Amino acid sequence: METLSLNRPRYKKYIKFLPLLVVPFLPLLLKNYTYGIMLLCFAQIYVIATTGLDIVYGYTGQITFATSAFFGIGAYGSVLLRKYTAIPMELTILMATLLSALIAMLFAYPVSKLRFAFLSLSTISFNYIFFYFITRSPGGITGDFNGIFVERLKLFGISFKESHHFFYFGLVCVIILVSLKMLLVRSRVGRAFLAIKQNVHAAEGMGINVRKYKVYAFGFYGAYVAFAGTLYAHFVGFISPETFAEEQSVLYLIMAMFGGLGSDWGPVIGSVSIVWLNDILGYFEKYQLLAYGILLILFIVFLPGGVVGEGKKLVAKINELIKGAKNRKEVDAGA
Amino acid sequence: MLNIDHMTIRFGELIAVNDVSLEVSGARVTALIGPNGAGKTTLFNGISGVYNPDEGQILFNGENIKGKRPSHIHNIGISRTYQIINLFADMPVIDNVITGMHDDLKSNFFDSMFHTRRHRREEKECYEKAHDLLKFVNLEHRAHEAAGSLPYGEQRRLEIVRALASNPKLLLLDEPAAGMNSREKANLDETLREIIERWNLSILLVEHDMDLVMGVSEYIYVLSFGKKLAEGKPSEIQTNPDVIEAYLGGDD
Repeated sequence: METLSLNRPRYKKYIKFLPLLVVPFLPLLLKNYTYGIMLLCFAQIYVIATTGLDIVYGYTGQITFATSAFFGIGAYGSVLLRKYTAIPMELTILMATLLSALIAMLFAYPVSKLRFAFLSLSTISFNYIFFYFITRSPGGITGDFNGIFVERLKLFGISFKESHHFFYFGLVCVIILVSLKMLLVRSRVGRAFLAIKQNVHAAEGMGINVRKYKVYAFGFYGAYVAFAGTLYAHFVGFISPETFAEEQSVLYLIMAMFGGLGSDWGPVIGSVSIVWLNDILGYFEKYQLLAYGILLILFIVFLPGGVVGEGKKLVAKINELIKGAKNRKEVDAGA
Repeated sequence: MLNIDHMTIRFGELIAVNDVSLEVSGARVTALIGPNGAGKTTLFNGISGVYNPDEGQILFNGENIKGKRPSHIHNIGISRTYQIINLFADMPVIDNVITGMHDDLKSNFFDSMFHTRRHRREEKECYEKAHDLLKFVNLEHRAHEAAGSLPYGEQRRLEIVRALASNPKLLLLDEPAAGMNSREKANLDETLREIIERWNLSILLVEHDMDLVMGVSEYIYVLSFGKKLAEGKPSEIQTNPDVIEAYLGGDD
């Protein structure tokens, strides 16, 4: 008998993760390819953001096109606090993250009544409003369209300015945040999220306060995405509005969907793949948006479950074939 | 236990439930019958909070629950099944049952995120309890299949145990026999008695299968066009001329 968490020898569960042990050594392997390490760092940042997106969209079923706005709340939040106050960076990152979670929850409270199309529109509007604010800020504190410079990541006296240093900090963050999400979705709260995604009426009927859980899902989303945003700002050392425009929000959705919604590894696979693809497409700048459009359509039609979802289906199919072949053999032997 | 006092539910000009009063109490089955479109499911939705009745009061153990959220009404002990099956179709059968225990579990966000000892103890307990419940309706062998892949009759049984998972005081069953074959229907009769005995709860049953209704209920309310047509013991209902006319149709 197989249950989610009981009865299976623990070590067997973890064997398939052995190849991941190579990850910490990637900067050494890519020593002469600094650019590659930098791409990995960006991938880590996006893994954190899409993991948050997966909680609200993959697990709770609430579509959102406001991801780059919350990314921006984190980035601008920490940058502005650094620039205009004497608060240390460790705290500005934390404050921006919590602020974003709070804004996401305040936003979700009225919006939690809306369904797919209307929810999409309200999140798109939210992103536009945010964009308007950062490009036409009072007194130009955000640097408006010119952007704003900020010091690079330095925490507790350790500088993570270089890619091969940031990589390890990013890796620790990814491991902690992805693990926390894995635990969260395998709990009472995670079941409530999934129940809301699968059947809102039944969820409410079974005693789940749908509004409360939607608000909390948005809170987690706001926190994860904004934390990624703060890392982005302090890793790059410069932010400007186009990173936080509505079009960019679609990119996070592409990452989440390509990897596979509502899965442990979907956000990781999706973010790493799309960051690389993005980089390749960067050489054909003119056609980049066109390529995204085509890719998105191809994913939806041919990979509706993403890499993880379709992979699982494939494994199930192969298992069935093997089982079928075995049964036939037994029947043959019996005859 | 449950007292509905002059409940009226309107949809624009249509009066779906018209000034209906009824009472459900005791460890027994109370049935609500009536021709199609009589307003039975609307009345259920009025009790369980899906609709907010336009008039009247709904008292459950003294608390007026009119206009409360469905989740609140479930939390204070009224659980239900649905006429149109309303399971979490892609979830495993056992997770459907455990989701039904949502408000009995105490784990909060912190417990959930860090899998504290409380979380682990509760998860273990609720898996055991869910297996026990599935055994009760002979679905244990299906525990890890997707709920949506089960045959119709099994889905109905799953809905019933999911509703029981929260240890309700009142169980609302909306056409539990619909789509069941005759053998399953015969067993349902027995199952309902066992439920009452084991959980010591009250059942309000909406059902079209008259053999089942007359066999298990101790008291029956009859609705027709949103109005209460009659009430009484099964033997009284069976001989009530108004009821017979409503079901067979008058020739005026």
